[in-house]
Amino acid sequence: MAVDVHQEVFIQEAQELLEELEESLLELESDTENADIVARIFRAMHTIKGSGAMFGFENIAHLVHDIETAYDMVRNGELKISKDMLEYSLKSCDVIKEMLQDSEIKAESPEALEILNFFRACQNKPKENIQEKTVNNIEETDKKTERAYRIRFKPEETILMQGTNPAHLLEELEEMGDCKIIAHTSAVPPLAEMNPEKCYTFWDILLTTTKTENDIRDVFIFVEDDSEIKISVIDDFSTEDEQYKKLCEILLEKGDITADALQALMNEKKMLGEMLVEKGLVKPEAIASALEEQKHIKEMRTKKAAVESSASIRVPSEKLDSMVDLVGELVTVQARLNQTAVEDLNPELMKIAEEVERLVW
Amino acid sequence: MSKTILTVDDSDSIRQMVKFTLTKEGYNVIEACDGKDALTKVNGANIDMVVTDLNMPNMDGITLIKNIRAMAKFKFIPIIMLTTESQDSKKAEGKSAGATGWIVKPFKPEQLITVTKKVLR
Repeated sequence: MAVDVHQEVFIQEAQELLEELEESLLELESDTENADIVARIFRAMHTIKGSGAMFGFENIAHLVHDIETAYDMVRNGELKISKDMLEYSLKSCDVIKEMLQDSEIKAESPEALEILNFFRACQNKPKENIQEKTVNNIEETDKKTERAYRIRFKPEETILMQGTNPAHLLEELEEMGDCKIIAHTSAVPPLAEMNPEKCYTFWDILLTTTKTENDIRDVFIFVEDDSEIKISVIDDFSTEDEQYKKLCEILLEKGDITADALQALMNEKKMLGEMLVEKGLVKPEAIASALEEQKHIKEMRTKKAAVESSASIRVPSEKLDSMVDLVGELVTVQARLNQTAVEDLNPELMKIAEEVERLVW
Repeated sequence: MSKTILTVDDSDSIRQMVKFTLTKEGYNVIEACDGKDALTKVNGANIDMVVTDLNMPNMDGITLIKNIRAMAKFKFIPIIMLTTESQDSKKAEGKSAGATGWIVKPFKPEQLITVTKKVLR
């Protein structure tokens, strides 16, 4: 990685920014109400912080963070510029310059800490204590277990105008495991009324994967605020031979129908799915989706069973033939060895020959 | 044809890092130093994706996103904004301006690649 090249560019850039910053601070001294100058200072701090953290100068980023926040407050009129503030700001420029030269200087060095605590006090934040950072142990769940998930993804109509193509998200899910996608298109209006830039469809996705629910949620990270996303585990394949959920159970779980409406229908003796559609209680796609779910789980269970039962292995017949040939050769050699041992009357050799005979037969 | 990505940032080092990372992945990268510069560069160009900073002189990222989205040609392209953790409200503002997603600074080159591959298929 050419990080060093990037670092050099950053150091140069930071030095230029610091010069600008010092000039701006001096200007601000004689014109403390000037919003333009404050904005300039904020932006310079912001860039130093953002780029600093990217190129390995966490110490600088840490120091500048609180200074930047203070100037943000000034910008929003929550804080007034004071003489002390300017002085500490100028001091911070010197410290940052030293940090650029010597990455060993920590954000906890006395000079840095003094500056940091001053700006924290400006924001009424508690003082920084030198403390060890707690390491978060991310809980590793058992990654190997396969689960079947039911995902409902109902994007906002304007999703395309945000530059997100829902088909890409579905593709991403498809790459995660065994996947079935059912589109619900009942909300698509007639052609004359349709706005081609809007998305009227929503999807049910059945996914069997070793990935966790969080991994699945990550696929939707940019759209989760505006879209309806429901993810639930529908099977973890731990129980065998158990009948999977009935159609009505699936529909109820997903909220496609209410319990009351279902109860009212129970007296009639027809296939449940047909009745629900006939009465207009449930959209045909919802039934299709639920049936698909039953199918998916059944398939996945069969597949899993097949994997588990395959204790025997397949061997290409060519390989088998050559192994039989080798055994043939081995028998011949063993016979020759026996013959020689008997002829030579060598007891040691006869013992070996007998042992080989036992192994071969 | 390789896809073209526009990177907009007033920080030379960030721009250079974005360009270096994405070029290595086979993308074509155009640079702009602020919103104004970016708008002159998108004019007449074929751009498949934009990666922009938010805080910039002359024209900030939010205004740039609004302007780009208003052009028929770029109505549906992915636009990724670079934000810092202190700008959570900016994220919402950026989204309503038309941004597709975001990357929080500081980020690693791999994160940039992951997000690019996610939105630009």
